[in-house]
Amino acid sequence: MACGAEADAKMGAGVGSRLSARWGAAHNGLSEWFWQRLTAALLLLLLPAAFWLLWAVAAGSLDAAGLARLASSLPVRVLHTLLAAAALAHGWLGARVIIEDYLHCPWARVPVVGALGVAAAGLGMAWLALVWGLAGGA
Amino acid sequence: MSPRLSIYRWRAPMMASLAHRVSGLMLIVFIVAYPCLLAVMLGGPEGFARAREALTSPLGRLFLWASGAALAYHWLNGLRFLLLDAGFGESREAMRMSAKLALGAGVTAALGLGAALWTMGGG
Repeated sequence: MACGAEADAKMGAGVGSRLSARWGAAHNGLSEWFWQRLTAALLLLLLPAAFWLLWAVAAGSLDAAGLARLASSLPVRVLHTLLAAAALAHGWLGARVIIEDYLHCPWARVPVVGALGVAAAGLGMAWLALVWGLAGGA
Repeated sequence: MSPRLSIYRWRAPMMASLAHRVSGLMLIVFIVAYPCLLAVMLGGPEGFARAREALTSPLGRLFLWASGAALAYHWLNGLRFLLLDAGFGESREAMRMSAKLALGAGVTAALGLGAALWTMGGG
């Protein structure tokens, strides 16, 4: 398997499509495209709301009691769950595409993509534990 | 190297696509920091005060500005991608025009956010 400068030369010569068909995600590209767009549509609404929450705290328009009330309400817990799932899936799919563009060696790319997936899953579980656990007692 | 940097011509759609990736990476930092900040803020009044102090510090404002600017651009260009997928604005001229609009709106939003953060009260 060609790596580094050799792989770059091949990419330039138009062999990149064969490399990505063999090692990349081309075997399920349509599914990834679909999930990337579906999560994008969710994030168009949910991510600005998350940003607003931090902005409101910084600006002083949301206090500790207000935040605890907001975070422990059922609709916000459901929205946070959707946000966690959509943001982590969208972020992981996007980061994977970037990694596959820049890391041409499978021995480097596969562990990095795998480690990112494990980190995203861990963060997602911690996020959900926070939303459904701690927020109720706040 | 990615063909984006070494082969493709530097036109507005290519720059819009590259900026989409950069802003996406910045938003990954946001989605890691957001639940961490939320956990601290929901830990009680002291944690909330600490988190608010951090958010209104110069570093916190930089984080809010970078996240907000990345979100504004990624949101606009993401909407552009969804519209392109749906078959709107697929001609070369329309793609170049929409890319310039997304880049211009992103820069405007970044400047507006910077001004809003500059005038925001302290912690």
